[in-house]
Amino acid sequence: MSQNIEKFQKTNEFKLIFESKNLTKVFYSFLKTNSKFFIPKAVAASSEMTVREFDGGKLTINKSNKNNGTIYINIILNETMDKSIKKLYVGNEDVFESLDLLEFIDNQTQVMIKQTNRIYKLIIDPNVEIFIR
Amino acid sequence: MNEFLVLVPTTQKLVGITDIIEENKGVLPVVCVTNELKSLPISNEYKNFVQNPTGIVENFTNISSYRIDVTDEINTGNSWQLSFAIAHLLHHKNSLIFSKSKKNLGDAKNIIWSTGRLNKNLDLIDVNHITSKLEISLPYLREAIQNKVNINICVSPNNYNEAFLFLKKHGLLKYVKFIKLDNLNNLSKFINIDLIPKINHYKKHNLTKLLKTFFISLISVCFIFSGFQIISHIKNYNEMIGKDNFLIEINKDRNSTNFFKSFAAFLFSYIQNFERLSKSDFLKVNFISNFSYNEDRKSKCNFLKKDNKFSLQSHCNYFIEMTNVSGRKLYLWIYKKNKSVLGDLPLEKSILAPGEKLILENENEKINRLILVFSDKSNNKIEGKLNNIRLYEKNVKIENQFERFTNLGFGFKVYDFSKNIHITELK
Repeated sequence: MSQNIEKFQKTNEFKLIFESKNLTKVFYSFLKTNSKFFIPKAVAASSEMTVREFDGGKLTINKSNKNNGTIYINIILNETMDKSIKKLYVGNEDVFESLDLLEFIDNQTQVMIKQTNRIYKLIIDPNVEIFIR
Repeated sequence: MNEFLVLVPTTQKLVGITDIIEENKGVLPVVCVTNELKSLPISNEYKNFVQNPTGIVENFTNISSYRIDVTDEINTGNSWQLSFAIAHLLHHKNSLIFSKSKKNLGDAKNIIWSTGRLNKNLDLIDVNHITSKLEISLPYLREAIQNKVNINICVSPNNYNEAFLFLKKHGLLKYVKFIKLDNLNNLSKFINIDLIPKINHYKKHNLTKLLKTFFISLISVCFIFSGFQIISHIKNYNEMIGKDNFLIEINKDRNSTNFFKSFAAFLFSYIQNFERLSKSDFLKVNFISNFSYNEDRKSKCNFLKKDNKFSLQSHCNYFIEMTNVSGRKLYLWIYKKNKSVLGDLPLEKSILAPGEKLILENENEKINRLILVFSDKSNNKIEGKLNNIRLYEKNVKIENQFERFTNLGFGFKVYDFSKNIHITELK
């Protein structure tokens, strides 16, 4: 399963998992143990989170000043990782999205997304868990 | 004010700049094709080009992150650096015209076509493929000439000949301003625009550094000069200590308007005072009471010491014990001031061998004040000074006399005796 998450299609495999509450629980628990970094749900006063700190680094969300709806997602790691990090997953019960990460240079990577992208709404939500692997 | 369109020639396309946006601090600088979400492969190079300490743009503008949009992909190389730097400087001055699209690079009265790499000192470093970049740009340049646009072509001195041959071959030389640029600082004079507030800052930075160095050097020279002056005065005092006029000279210098003399005299007195304090350990003084016991055989004549005060019950007798603990021969002058106005107690002089003790009695509590002056060297002048205290006691401040002892390099201890046998050690 750990090998295949990246290959999962949004359709059938996920649908099957998220149909069952138990399977969903198992899935997130499995993802948590098999991720390089895990960002738990946040206890936040704000409904939008622009910085999520985690054990090993920091994730920041910045709106572009270009005003064209571009969002920068930056991940800064405290230490260099031996193995490459390729994906970011955001999930809350049956809502689950993934994002391809670019190569880390100087322990840092940046991805641009559109504000209309579903992952943006999820990533700023303090109630979602984030997995980096 | 002149406004410029900046073009970035590559071997594949002539690229225009469609937007420059100042981004927030946490964002990495990126290069994108107009409005796209994918950063171009040169983005990491661009980040290093913008941000301190490697980059130069932040130096000019104080802004550490930008998004720069271009009309076409630029995937490799560094020859975009000169054009991007010029574009950032013009943008900072609100003098940059953006290209509109891939097909319409823009309408402007002034164009800068530039290629080259920059180092941190803003020196221009030559690049390859000048001819092919000009070849690609040729249709656009011809059209611009037809439209009577002012075209500025900037290359490094090493790329100049290659570009010159191309422009000559295609008959463009007389229609363009062909600039051999060795350093970005020099561009302003060619395009008649004061480009660079931050480059001035850059220069200012160097000037500040230079001024700082100059002032540090100046202060160092002053310190060395003052040090020499002061040391030479102190050396002089040291040689003069035994001479008759030493105290007059040092006193004169302390009140002098010459800073070095005045400071040297003060410093010498200060050092001598330290010396004096270390010498005060040469002579150990004890006040010892004669034993007198109560009926229960408990002593009732013990000295009580609090701070620098010794006290004893009035009916008890005591004597003063002085011990030379210096480990060398010690000359000791004992000045005793009589309690009664009439009648002098003689000035006593003694030499104590190392470890030797001298006992002094204060019979009938005759002594009012005891001054012990001592040194490992004999000096008859001290007798004169102590006699002066005796003769001019009412006119001479005792503290002044002590300062003279200090300046002459003597140690001293002073005790005042009051009723009920309270003894106070004056520091």
